[in-house]
Amino acid sequence: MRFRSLLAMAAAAALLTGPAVSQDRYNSADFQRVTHALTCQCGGCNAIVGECAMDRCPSSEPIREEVAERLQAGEAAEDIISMFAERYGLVILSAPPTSGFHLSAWILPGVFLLGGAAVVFAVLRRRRSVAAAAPAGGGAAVPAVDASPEVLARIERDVEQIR
Amino acid sequence: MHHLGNFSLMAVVVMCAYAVVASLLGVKKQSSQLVNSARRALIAAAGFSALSVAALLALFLADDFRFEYVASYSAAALPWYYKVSALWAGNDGSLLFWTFLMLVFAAACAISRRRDELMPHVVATLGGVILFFAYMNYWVCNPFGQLAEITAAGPIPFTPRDGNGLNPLLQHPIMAIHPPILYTGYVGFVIPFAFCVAALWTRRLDAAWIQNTRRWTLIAWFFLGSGILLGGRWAYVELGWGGYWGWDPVENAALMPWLTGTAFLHSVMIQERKGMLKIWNAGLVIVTYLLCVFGTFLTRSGIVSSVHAFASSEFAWRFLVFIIFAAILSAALLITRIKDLRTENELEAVVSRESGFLFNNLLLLAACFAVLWGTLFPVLSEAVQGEQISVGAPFFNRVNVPLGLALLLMTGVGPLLAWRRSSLDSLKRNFTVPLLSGVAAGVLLFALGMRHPYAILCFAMSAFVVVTIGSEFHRGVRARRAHRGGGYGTALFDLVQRNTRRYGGYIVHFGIVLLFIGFAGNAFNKDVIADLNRGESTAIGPWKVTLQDLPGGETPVHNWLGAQVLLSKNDEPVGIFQPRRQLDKATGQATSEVRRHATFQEDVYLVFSGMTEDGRATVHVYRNPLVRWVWIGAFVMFLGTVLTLLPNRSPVRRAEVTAAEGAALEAV
Repeated sequence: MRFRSLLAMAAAAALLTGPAVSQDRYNSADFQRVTHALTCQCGGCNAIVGECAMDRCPSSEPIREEVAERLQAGEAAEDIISMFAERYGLVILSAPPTSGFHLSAWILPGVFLLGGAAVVFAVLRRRRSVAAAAPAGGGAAVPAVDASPEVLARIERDVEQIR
Repeated sequence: MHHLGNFSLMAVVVMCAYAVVASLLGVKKQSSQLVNSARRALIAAAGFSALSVAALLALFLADDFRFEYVASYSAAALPWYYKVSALWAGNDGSLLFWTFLMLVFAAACAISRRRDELMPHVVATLGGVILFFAYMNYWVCNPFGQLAEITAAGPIPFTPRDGNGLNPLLQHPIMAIHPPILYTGYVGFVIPFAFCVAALWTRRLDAAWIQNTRRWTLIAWFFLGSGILLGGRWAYVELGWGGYWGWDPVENAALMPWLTGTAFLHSVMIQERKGMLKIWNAGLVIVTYLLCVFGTFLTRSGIVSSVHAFASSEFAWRFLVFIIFAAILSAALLITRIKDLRTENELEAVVSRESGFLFNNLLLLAACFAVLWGTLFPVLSEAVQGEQISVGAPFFNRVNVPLGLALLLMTGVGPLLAWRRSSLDSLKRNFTVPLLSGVAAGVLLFALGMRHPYAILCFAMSAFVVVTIGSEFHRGVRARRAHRGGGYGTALFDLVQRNTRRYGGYIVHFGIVLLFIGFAGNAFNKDVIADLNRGESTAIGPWKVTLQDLPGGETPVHNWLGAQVLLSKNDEPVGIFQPRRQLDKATGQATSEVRRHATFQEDVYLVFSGMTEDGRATVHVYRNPLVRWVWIGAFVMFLGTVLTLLPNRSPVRRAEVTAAEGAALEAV
């Protein structure tokens, strides 16, 4: 039984072994920036290279290693990102470029928000004008009244009590 | 057993078809017998659906590997509880489970609302929707298919000695409950959807359908939100990348209906109170349900790649046809009823509770659109440009963080605005203290050295919202004490009991604030990777991680190797932790078992990434501030939602307030 366990552990250790690397270079700010601008190309996980937790990932690990080497060789972070984009295509970038057709990815949510805000303001203005045109308008569930501050204060107090 | 499963599936199809036909015929012939039989058919369908689920479950528990679905997702050595959860591990079983849950909701609705005048049309709608899913279960994604070996003489039944096993990442207690809870949220929205369609169909478009479905909507919203947060928790403790939300398409698919559902829960208050926004509310319910179905389409279609998705299904187009069909039908109903959906009142001021709700809805919908747009943009880019692109966390964070902060702000602003219009005096009175608190918090954090603009904004707004919520409770308690006397605690208890919806809602808002505080912690995440020999250390901030040993072992399910580390803070020992790498015997898949030292201030998150060739252990240490507040916030939201679902002890009797008093009060 002991022998079987040792065998199993040896098998596990062998399968869990990865390439020997020096990890200090994995901890620089530039390394973090570049690896977070790239996505894993293993074909399904969509993970950011800097966050991919797959054991011995055939995509993220070589990319991380190459990024570290290039940074050590003195290449600029932006140049490394561009180099990967040229090699793999735009699919490796973790966010769409901010030019050409892909700019629409960034712009449209803002357009939606501003368009929606314009519609809300237009609705508010139109409805306010309708309400102003018919101050005692039929259908108003609660007709407006002219109440003194004392009455208002008393009502507020009463309603607080029944809350 | 599989015969029982298949028979039950067929019975579900027949019962749902009957429910549609009988309820419509019953309406046409004004036959209450037919209408009732349709309703009972839906209840019977739920029973048959339960039988088919039980049959599949029995096959899993009996390790009956003759069946392809069982052999694909289970193995003999799997503990019984993971055999149960393997039921929803794949496309076919999860769809079966989805249909079952939807029928549970449908049956509960058919029983509890049997006297509702909308019921015949509700039954017809529910029957029609569930019929589609039952059809998919029986003919397209049947989980009772048997394995066969193709030979020259034809297919011969084949039984493997063992199954492929369950994905080891899914072998986690949270994964045993996360899918059912998430699915319950998804399918639960079918009830408000069915009531909305029924109301449009019959032109009974007052607020009754909304009031009658409020609890259903809230339950669905609650389960969907809980499912999302449980998914985040699972990702955090199981996947080993140090985070809980990756903006994966399948995560996004669940978030979208939650956002529109949240918008709906707010805007219904305007319809209930003022008879306004009828079209908007009907549209929101329809969109929310369609997004729920779209979510399952995204998961099963493979149109976007996702770590969570089931294998690309050739049958996904059927879902798309269903979604398009349901959208066209719902839109047609909405358009033809526009005249009946006219508002009963008008908005009177830009600065009012009503417009606050409108802007809250706008922000929620903008966030939903941004998520949808980002999720589908790779598909669009490939169609238009012919080039694949990725849209990941950097995009979603940049677009959604400002929207999220604006929503957080509205969480505090909304309750301070009066209905109809807010006078300058009331604005000054209500806003001064919360606003000063927010500004003070921001200035203090800046003075203490914090420089991250979004984090400062988030904490400042959180302070603003917390003071707002606190002042709402305090004002209510003060009024109750003035009226009835008694201690602060008694008055608070009394106050909350008398308006569970309002104060439960505030507690949910408080939970949201805690969530945002947890999210803001992400701005300060740090991590370090180190290759360590025994006795060597790596440091991150005040924390030091020293490798002590590399133990290993074996269980019936996997082999494992651990990195036993001593965690110290400022050279004071905190504890010994053993993050592991595991190798699943059935699937051969290696996974991480992370270990965490969690405090209210921060989590130290330890991952054993593997061994280097020269025998050193690669340890990844994350320092994640404030993560615990995400889980606490989720729990507070849970408490708040449960409170809103409770009936008021003594309902607010609005009739006691005269129309004139009401009008005057609203003008305050």
